[in-house]
This record gives sequence, C-alpha cells and structure tokens, in this order.
Amino acid sequence: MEAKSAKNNLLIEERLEAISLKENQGGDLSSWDYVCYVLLGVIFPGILLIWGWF
Amino acid sequence: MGLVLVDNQKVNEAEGAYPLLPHERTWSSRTLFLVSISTSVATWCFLIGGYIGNYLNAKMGVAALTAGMMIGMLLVSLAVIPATAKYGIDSVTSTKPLFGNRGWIIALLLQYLSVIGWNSILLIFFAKAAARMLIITGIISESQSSMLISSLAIAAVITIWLLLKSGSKAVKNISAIIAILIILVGIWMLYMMVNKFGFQAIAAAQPPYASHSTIWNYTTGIEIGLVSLIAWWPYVGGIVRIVPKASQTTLPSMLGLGFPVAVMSTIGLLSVLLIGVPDPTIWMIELGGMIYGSIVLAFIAFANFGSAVIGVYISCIGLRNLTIMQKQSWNTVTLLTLVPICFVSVMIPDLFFAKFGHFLTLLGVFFAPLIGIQIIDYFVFRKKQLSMKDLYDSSSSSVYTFWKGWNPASLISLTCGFATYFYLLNPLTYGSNTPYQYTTATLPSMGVGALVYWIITRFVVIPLGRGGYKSKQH
Repeated sequence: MEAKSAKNNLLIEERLEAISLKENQGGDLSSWDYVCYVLLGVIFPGILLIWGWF
Repeated sequence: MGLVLVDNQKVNEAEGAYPLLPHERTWSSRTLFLVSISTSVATWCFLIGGYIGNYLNAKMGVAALTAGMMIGMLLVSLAVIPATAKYGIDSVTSTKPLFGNRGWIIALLLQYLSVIGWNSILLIFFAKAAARMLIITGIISESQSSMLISSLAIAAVITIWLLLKSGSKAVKNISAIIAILIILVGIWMLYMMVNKFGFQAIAAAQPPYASHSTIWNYTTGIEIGLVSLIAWWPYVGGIVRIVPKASQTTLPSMLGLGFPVAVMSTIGLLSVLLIGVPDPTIWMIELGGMIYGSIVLAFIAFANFGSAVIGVYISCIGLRNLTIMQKQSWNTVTLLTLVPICFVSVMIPDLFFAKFGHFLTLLGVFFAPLIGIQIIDYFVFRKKQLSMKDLYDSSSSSVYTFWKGWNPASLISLTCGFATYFYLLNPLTYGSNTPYQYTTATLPSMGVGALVYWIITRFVVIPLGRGGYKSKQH
C-alpha cells in the first residue's frame, strides 16, 4: 500500500512539474480576448441599457 | 491515456482535481460552446426572466436582463478563466492562492451548496413538467401528481448518476444534442408567444409588482441578471479547463454561458407579463396544442438533464480536492453530490421552488466579493502566475499556507463584501438602501471585497512575507 502511495505521489509530482512548464500550459488571454470581453461585457450591455431606458 | 493511480484506483484526470496536461484537454472551442449552452439553458431561465417580469416591461426587461447577464459573465470570466484555462485546474483549486491551502474549503462549500440549489430547481421543474404532461394527456389523474413528482425526481437522480458513470465524456456527448434542441425549442416558444399575442400587446404589457421608482425597477432587473450569471462561478472552471488554450474559451463562454440565458429568460419575462406565470409548462399545451405542446414539454424536461449532468460533474471535480474524496470511486463521489439534490427535490420541492428568488440573491451575496478578490489577487498580486507545486501542497511548506492554511485578508474582505451587499439589498426581504438603485448590490459588494483585499494584502500580508507574493513563481 505504501509503495503504491509513493508511486502515486511520484506521478502527481511529475504531473505538477509538467504543468509548470510553459509549453504545457493553456497560456494567457490575448489582447484580442480582452477586446472581445470589452465589446460583449461592457459596450454591448451599455448600449442595451441606454436603449432600454429611453 | 491521462490516467493517474490514486490509491489503487484508476481515475481519468478529467474526473480529478489535478491540473490537466495538454493531451488530456480534448475539447475544442465548438465543444465548449455546446457544453456552455447545454449548461446554462435550462428551466431556471424561465424563473429568472419571470422575476424580472415582475418589475419591468418587455423592453426594459430585455435590456436589463441581457445587460446584467453579459456584465456578470464578463466578471466571472475575468475571475476564473485566466487561471483555470491556463493551468487546467477547476474553480475551487483556483481559490487556494487567495484563501490559503486550507481556507479553500470555503470555496468548495459555496460550490457544493450552489450546485445543490441550481440542480434541485432543475429536477423539481423536470418532475413538474413531466407530471403535467402525463396529467394533460390523461395518463394519470391530478390526485396522483404529488406522488408522481417525487418518483420522477428520484428517477431523474438515478438517470443522472448512470449518465455520469462515463464522466466528462457524458457531458460532451449529451451537450451536443441538447444544445441544438434547446435553441430550436426556445425559438419556437418565442415565436408562439409573438404569434399569439402580437408585438403591440407585448410592448403594452405592464409588470405586476413594479415599484413607483422606475430606476429601482431597472436596477433590480440588472441585479437579477448579474447574480444569475456570477453564479456560474463554480461551473466555468470545470469546463474551460478541458479546452487546450485560454484564448479558445473567450467567445464560447461569453456567447454560450451568457447570451443564451438572456434569450431564454426572455420567455419567462414575457410569460409573466402576458400570462401572469413564468413557468411555460403551465401554458405550453394551451398555446401550442396537445402534440406540439407535449413535444416541447418533453424537450424542456430533457434539457434539464444536460444542465444537471454538468452541474453534478462540476461539483464532483470540486469535491475531488478533498483527500478523502480522491480515495473514493467516481460513482461514489457523484452519488454524494446527488443525495442532497434528491432530498431537496423530494422532501421540500414547493418550498424551494417558492424561495428561488432568495436563493438567487444569496448567491450574489457569496459570489460577488469572491469574484472581486480573485480578480485582484490573480492580476494585481500574482501577476498571472501560480505555483503548481504549492497549489497542491497542503503542508505548511506551501507558499499558500498564509497563517495555518488560512488567509485572513480574504476572510475579512469576504465579510466586508457580504456586509455591503446586505446593506444595499437584503436578499431575504428585497428591502434596499441608497445607493442601491444607482449601483446594484453586486457591483459595490464586489468592489468593496476587492478594495479591502488589496489594502490588507498590500499593507499587511506582503510586508509580513506571507502568501508567496514576493517569492519567484514558476
């Protein structure tokens, strides 16, 4: 049981080491992503709210 | 493929809480989009829209709910997606850097309770819709409905448990079918309402419980939209982590989790304004006729399964963060999530159904400050970098230990956020205080939580060398 647990820990450690490498990560959001967020989450709702109020 | 031995058991990593490696992140943007639609669009949309229809007419209601939901989706995306999509982790794990390597239990508890609440509503709705269909078609009598609703809820829980035996594959497969059906049914329902009542009647319909203050009504519509969408916090991390790149998640999440909810909520909004009830299962047969109405009722009932399957899946991933849950089989973990849902659906369905509005605002109370804190921590203090080894180290050697595993900064900030929300809008009575009518309760609560967190972290936590803010991150 202890041997299996040690093997398990080793595999988890390997996994954590692997995901710490940049090439194994999903990367950060790009400028274009932030533009999409602003358009869909700020400008579009803003226009809707003005339209709804008047 | 993608297997790690956990105490003598093989567990697919997509059903575990450890970070996913590139070859395990198999969903495309399209899959995420379909899963998002299937997750977000369910009969809760009708209830959400119905609440807004109590205060606003059609034009203002559509504007407020859509705007509130898109803003809510933006905020929850900024809080959760950058870390979860980058490292392949779930929402609960992403809170360890701010709550501490023991304090994250708060996030798990919030996730667990919210998933139970959301999915109980789904099963209650499913059982009611199915029972109504059987009554209308003469298969059972009205007197048998109560017993049937309980039986159907139990049957639904068992079905979900069986469906989830194959984990994320079940989520993917079921979503593709349901998402398309939901879109078609939603369009058909809107068409039926417009066809039956006409645009003029829709535009002229007045909300039944509007207050004398137009701005209060408008803000309340936005608030309901906001809290409904920030309540996706538990769901977002669990599904975006299976997509390989963070930038592949932006449009699918905004357009799949945010916009469709607004469109389907419009049906509930119009239902309240034109018919007086938000629940289309009550009038669908009358409006659509026996055949089409029954088909739509069946679709609505079926659509809830997609959302429930994903909700339970997400909750199980969160539970997997507990060491004791890592030792359990996947089937046991899904069962542990489903038991409380079954209890609520069978024992107190009418009470919970009636208090759904309170449940929604309570979600805002909890998730709003959490989202504010998470955005500040990840972007301002962590500079978009987390240490994976420390994230999964529950010992005192982890940089996320803070003080015995807890970060007082986040606890104090959460409390300040709660207090702000309660001052502005009491989630139980809907009594409000100025400046609620100009600001909503969610946004100030989020802002206060973020500001207090920034002050304490900047002037106390970092100078004392806790939380790993100064150490070089991996």
